[in-house]
Amino acid sequence: MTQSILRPGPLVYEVPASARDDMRVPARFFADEELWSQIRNDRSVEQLMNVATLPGISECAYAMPDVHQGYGFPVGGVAAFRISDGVISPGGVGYDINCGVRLLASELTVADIRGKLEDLVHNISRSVPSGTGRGGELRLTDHELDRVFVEGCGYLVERGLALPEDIDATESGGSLPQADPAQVSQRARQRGSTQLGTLGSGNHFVEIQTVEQVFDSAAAEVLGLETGRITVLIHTGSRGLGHQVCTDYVREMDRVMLKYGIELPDRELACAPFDSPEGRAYFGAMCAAANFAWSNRQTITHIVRGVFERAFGDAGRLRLVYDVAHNIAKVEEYGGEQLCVHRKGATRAFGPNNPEIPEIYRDVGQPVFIPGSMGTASWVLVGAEGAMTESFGSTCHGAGRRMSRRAAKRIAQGHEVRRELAKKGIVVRCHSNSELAEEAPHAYKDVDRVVDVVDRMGLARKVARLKPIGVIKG
Amino acid sequence: MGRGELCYNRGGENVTGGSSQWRWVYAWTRMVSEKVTASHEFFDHTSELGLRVRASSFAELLAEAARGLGKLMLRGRPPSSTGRWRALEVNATDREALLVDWLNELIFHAEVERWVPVEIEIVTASDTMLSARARGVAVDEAPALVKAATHHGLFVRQVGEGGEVEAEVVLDV
Repeated sequence: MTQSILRPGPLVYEVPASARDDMRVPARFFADEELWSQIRNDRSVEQLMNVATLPGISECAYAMPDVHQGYGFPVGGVAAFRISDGVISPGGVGYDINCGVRLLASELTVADIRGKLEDLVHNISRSVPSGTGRGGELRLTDHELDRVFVEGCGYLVERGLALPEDIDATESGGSLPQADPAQVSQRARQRGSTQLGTLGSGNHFVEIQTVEQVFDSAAAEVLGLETGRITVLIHTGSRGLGHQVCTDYVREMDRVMLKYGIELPDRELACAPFDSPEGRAYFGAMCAAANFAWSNRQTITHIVRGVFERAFGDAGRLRLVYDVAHNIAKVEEYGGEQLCVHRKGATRAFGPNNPEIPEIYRDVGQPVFIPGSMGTASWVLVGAEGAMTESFGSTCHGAGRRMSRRAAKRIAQGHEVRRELAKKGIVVRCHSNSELAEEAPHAYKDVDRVVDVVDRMGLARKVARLKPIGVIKG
Repeated sequence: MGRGELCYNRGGENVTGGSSQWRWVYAWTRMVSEKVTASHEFFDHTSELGLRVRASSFAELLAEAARGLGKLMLRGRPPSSTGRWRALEVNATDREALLVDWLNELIFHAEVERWVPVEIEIVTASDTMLSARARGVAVDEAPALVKAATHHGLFVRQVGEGGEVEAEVVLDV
């Protein structure tokens, strides 16, 4: 393997297609030396090489600098498949369909919330249900669920859970038009019907932050961010509904691959031609789950807005800056060709002037948010031109795990993590000490280093660094 | 990996973090109530969790995998069974898919019905079909931290001459 790695650029490592007989395109990693040494420690390289074997893959299989071992696709992987002769793979999106983040900005400063932070964290923690199977207060009928599947956040405006201006500030307007509720199983509906407005578990969170430093004042001004101001970052996805959609379709595609003559090095890459009954069915169900995920983050936004407004009145108003997906498959056009771009732990990062970007941001590029670990920092970036030519309009999505959950717990227990965060002035609410330890900062790569790579590569530009002060963990 | 209750116990220490007292009682109860011929343990994965199971037959392997999953989802709560036995049935294309579909069936019940099976009896099992009955723990809120069983790195294979089988499956947690 060592001799197979090429270095087409100072921040690019590439396994050529010739490295294995079944690879159709190269597997390309964006990383500096330190991150590359971490990437090579798990099975990310092998997994991206597996992705490079899939039918109809275009140009390269890409890995962002936060990549780590997943199942099937590595987490941090991007691959685009031709609509004409390529595939769609549920494992290439993952079980948490449209897991993503949204940033809310306020006019409040640290001084305004001093003395109230504990209460804020406590009240958000009480109001936003968390835990894996935990349901929320909103119970949706089948008809209402169908409307969420089809209309996404648009339906929530009618329900009073979203502001009209929230729609434009959400990737794809918070609704993919290809959603097909008929392709969502009864089981998926059962898992999702009580979970709108719930956080879930694992690495999901609501975080109260301050804008610590601005790197691009012009872009920050356009995004409405100013040093010292309070922001809120929400990270969650489609919950049990998305998990079940993925489960259903991995199973379905595993059964039909033989029919299409598809052979895979890893069964979790199960796929079908995009233009096949199974491919179209999955795409319709995935889009419905993605719309559910945007609606979930929107409903949580509504709850958090209520908490802030009760605490601060009009001064506590929270404006949605933008919302981006991290796990999704979308049809996009590159070089005049329609491709199904799979982002599994990666963020769309369209550069300036792209018509998909809301008009107010079009001159600076699409906003991108990179959550770090709960003890370090998160980043606001904007998509750059390089992403359009180098990575199918994509960039990184987080710090990226560097150790297993059990390894993280061997280093520090939950109460120790809590104490360390308190020393930094970070208030934490987490229902389980064990889960807190699993998500400790030492379990993650250095988010600043990850962001440096995408900035230097020209995939996205640094705008601001956000420092956590209150964390509500799922 | 060893056999019987010792290994079962070790898996509990690694994952549940529950008190050693109830782990001991659980292991002892299993030892006297049934002949333990299966074992499981969890193995590390950067972002997920692996489940490795060994048993004297494929049918017992399916039962043991379910016990392992149940223990993981209960996260240290006492695994006393409650309620009546209920029937479960799964069909799949081969042994590996049957193992994954079986675990996903249990994950679904845990999340939607707040019911985590801990006592499993296999009624019939082939390479493509499983009929089982189970008693489980009813919980106030879904305890599951498991999103799904995946096909990644999945295998079921014979080990040795005596029909013993082992399997690995990665769980999305």
